[in-house]
Amino acid sequence: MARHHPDLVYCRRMPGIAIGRLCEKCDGKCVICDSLVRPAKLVHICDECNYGTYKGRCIVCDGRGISDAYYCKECVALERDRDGCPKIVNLGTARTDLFYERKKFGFQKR
Amino acid sequence: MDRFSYTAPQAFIDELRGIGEEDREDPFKELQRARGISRVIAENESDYEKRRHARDVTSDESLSYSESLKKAQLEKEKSELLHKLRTAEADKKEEEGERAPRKRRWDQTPAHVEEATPSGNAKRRNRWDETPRDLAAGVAQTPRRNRWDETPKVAAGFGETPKVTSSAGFGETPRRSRWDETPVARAAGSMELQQQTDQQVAVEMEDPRNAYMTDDELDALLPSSGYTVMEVPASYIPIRTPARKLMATPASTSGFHIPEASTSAAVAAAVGVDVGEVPGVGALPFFKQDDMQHFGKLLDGQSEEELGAEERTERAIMRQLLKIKNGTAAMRKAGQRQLAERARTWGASAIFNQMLPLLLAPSLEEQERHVLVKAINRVLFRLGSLVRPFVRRILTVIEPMLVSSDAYARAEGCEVISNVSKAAGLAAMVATLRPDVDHADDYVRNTTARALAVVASALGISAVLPFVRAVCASRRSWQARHTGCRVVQQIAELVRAGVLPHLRGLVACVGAALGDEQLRVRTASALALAALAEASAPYGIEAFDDVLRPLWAGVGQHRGRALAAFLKAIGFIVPLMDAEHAGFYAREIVPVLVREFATPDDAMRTVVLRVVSQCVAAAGVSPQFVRTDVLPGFMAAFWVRRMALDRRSSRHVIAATVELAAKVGASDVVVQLVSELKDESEPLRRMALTALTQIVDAQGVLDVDARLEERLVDGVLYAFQEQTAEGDGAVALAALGAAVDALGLRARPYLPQLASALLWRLGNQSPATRQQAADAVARVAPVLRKCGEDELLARIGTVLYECLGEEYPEVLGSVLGALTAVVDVIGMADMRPPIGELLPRLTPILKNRHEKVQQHCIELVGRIADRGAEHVGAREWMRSCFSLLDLLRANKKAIRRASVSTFGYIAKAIGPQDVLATLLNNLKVQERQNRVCTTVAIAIVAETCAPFTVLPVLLNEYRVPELNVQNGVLKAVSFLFEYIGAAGADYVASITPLLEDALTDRDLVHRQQAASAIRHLALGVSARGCEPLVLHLLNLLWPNVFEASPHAIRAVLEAIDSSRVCLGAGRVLLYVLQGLFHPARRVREVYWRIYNMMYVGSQPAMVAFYPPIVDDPPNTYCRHELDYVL
Repeated sequence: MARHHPDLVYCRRMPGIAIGRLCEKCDGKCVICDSLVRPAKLVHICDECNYGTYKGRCIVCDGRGISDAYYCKECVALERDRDGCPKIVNLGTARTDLFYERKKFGFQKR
Repeated sequence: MDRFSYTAPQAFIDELRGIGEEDREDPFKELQRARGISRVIAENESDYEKRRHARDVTSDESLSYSESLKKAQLEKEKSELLHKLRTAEADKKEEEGERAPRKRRWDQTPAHVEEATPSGNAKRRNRWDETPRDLAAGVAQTPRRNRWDETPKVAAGFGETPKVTSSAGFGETPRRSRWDETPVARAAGSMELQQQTDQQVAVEMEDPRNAYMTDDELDALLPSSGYTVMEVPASYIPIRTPARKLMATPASTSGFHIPEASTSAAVAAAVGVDVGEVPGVGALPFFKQDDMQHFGKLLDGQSEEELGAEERTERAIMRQLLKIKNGTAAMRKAGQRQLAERARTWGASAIFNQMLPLLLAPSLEEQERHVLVKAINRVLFRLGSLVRPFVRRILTVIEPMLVSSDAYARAEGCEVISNVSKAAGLAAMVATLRPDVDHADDYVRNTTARALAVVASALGISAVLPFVRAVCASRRSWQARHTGCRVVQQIAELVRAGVLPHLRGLVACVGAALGDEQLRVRTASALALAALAEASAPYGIEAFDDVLRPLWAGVGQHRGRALAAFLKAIGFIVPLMDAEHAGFYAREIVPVLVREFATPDDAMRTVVLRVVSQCVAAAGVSPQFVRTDVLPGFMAAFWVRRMALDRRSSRHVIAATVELAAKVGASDVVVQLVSELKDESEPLRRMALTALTQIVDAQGVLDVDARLEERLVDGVLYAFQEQTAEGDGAVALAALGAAVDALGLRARPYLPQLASALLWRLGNQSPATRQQAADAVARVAPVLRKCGEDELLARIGTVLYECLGEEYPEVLGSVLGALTAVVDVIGMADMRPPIGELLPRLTPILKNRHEKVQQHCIELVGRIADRGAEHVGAREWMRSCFSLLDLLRANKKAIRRASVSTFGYIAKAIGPQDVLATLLNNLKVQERQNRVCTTVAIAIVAETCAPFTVLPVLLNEYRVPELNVQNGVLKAVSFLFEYIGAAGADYVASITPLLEDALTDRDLVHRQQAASAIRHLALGVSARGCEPLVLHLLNLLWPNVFEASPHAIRAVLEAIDSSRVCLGAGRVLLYVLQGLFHPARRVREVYWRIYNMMYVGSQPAMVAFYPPIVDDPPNTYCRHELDYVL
């Protein structure tokens, strides 16, 4: 996701034994390059990113996780899988902008 | 020929152009007002949040640290004194037998206005508290400058905001909060008259009849010949600010008279609403009354040339801020970029002096605050350490966001504060926050604690820990110790498992406060320990060794809220212990918990529930103990209708129940829950259903005996049928599905009854019932199959098929989902009605516009195309293909994804030629998203039908001299190589001419797409013997490294990185060496970027290729191999 939203920030701490999950919407994507094909290597995330309510959450968008996250073969070839925990730690302007935009027009229940 | 053209209604176009509309107010406003929604922050605040208005936001950059500390100390002493006075007075009154007055400032008599500090211990310096010092000036002027006082700084006798000028005609503003009112100091006798005259002057000045004539008017009046326009004398300085104009004009009135409504309306019109276009900004979607206060300068018609540099900067910033705050999305974006880019040239003070007052404006809305905060963030990033003088003011403005009820606002606040602390450094942050640590107002201390925690998480706990330790150990004020505990608690909540390395230090900070003389400090300390234990679970019990004893003692000594805090701390430490200790503590604490089951206090109940689930889960607790000592009391106390009504408490009850079931086994809990399933109260039934779902999902029903099993199915079915239409159907559905799934083959006896109920409900009159039934069918279909009820499934399938004429889209979507499930389990061959009949019925439904229908329909069609394509004729599939093209426009990504893969299945079934022709035609459309999806579909077709069937067609299509088509082909090639991976080795030679052409094209997008194709190609074919071709492509690609467009340069760099993988780092290094030490910086920059990229990827491989550096006489650069070893 961060490939298409440059303001998103990866956690990048040392990954542990916890396995990253993806939600229904992000399911099947490579967590680095969003490719939908050739999942090659299971994503490990750091302990802090698997803590408490974050456990089992989508590592891209914080949704309810339904499947394991993978790096695609290309990212493994480029060793992007060794750059640290790939959990997105901030909300990103796209999300917050949308939230306030919708709230402003009263589309969201309070 | 007359052509139809579809376009937006004129009104909308006018609105976009910014003309026509009389009223520039937000059109949604009325709607929202009618619904009772207000987005103005100040109107939605709780009383606690309102306390932020009392904070001092003076620009006290000049104050030194010691001065600000002294000031804080004085304020504190003052508030304590006032507090004492007030309590003494209250006591006196009580003694007199009179009921003590409520401590609210409105209730106080004017006699002791001075002492009137609101609420409790708060000191709250605000302007109501101070006596007007300068009565002669007419207006109560406080020495403190805050936003209420800001407007006409110079106008000594003039009212406050422009609004006030017309009190008679303009009084009925829809919103009248106390903030809107002018401070009328009744003490001054001549005030009213003075104000009246001032207003009158203002009115006269603004009255159109008194206004200066414009040049146009003069031209119309005077003959064009015989007159010359005189030069303005060099010495003349015009008076710009309206306030000064007022002062300059002598009051021309004689005595009192009532201002006329019509003139005041004219003033309002001139000043407020009717701002069409702001010079230099353009047409704005809206311009509020309050904006006049900040942006009025932009409208005074001054030309830029005659202004000084400083004022010009001020206006430039103002324009950007106005764009950001009020502009359309595009304007906002431009404004943000401008502001960020020029932040350093404009300087911190110029920017923040304008930005921060805006954030305090009373009419600020949530979205405006959001965009302004975003602007602060970007500016901060550019300014770096230059923000240091403004840290205090920024914090005062941002801190309230940390206690907002809105999670997004909290996250934003955290982000800003962590950016500030990174920019300003720890010392500046601590110096700024230090005076507030023992502030008298609880609100200020709370926000300060949160801010400190954010600082700790941004700069590292170890950096902040010494300060926190000192705060916690403060001997002078209990407030500081209280804040210290809160800081620790917030740190734990913020960085979670990150506290582990500092756990001992943090526990030591708050541990001592457990024995504090102040109850509030003890409570805060226990809460901090609870948060620390929760954050560090399951590690770190050693750190808590020292506090266990005082905590345990505290449980015996406290009551009420304090007890809740101590219980919470123990409850969260228990899971950290080893089995033996955990068992001991859990057994010891259970009697207290059982005693507190009956508590009426919500907070206590929440704590008790959390602690119960923690303790029960601990390893050393025996199931028998839980069964006898906890379960009966728990069920009696918490499984009651009242608990189900509140969502939060019901969630806690469910979590605790699931924990209990995990300890004592499912059947013991399920037997209690099934009786609740037939309760009259729907919320309680739902709560039971949710708990059952979770228990059955987690543990299955192996220990449930036949009798209980019957009751369970009966109860769930009853609850499913009794659910009301407006409720959330998912709960009952999930429970039904979970129960039936878990029972598996044991569910067989109940299936006929279930199926007949569902079939009957599928024909129900109410759409909600039909939808629930269809959803349930989808859920239970696999179990029906498992139990061998194929007959039943086929019957359900037929009924569903007959339901395809459904008119409610939601229901139709569910019916399609159910059909998919049935087709899935029954298989294509055995499906009734046969697939050949089903698909033609689905093709028209694909055209449905509803998202749910589209999604379920495309899933079903895809499933059929995948597994049962042979049941349907080729012509029918082509017809579906055309409908599928429409789906590529869908908003939902899942739909687009499903439809592109369906193209692949169809192509596999009927051969790629026809499908490909359709897709290639679609490349000519205008919409980008549609084209992108088409290229993906082409690539998928190529993948499923082997690339050699598709590549020739693509190569041919590239010859069409049309930009979109060529780019589409290149994109398809790029996706194709991504999808086929290593199989691409066979096709590199054939695609090379096309890529050559694209890389040498003038169009940037061609080169970008070709670069991304090379990226996938090079990665796919690495180690497959295609190096010469990839090298050839790299040669053509290399000149693009100087591309400036972000997308293009990224594609090019990625392609080079991939080539590095394919060709080896040494080869690429030879290219890079050419530019690493180039005289031009722009060249060096990109070459070093590539070098760094390679260094990260394959540093060791480059060593062998570093150029040898020959010695020049005095220096030896050569290092012999032996030197490395020695």
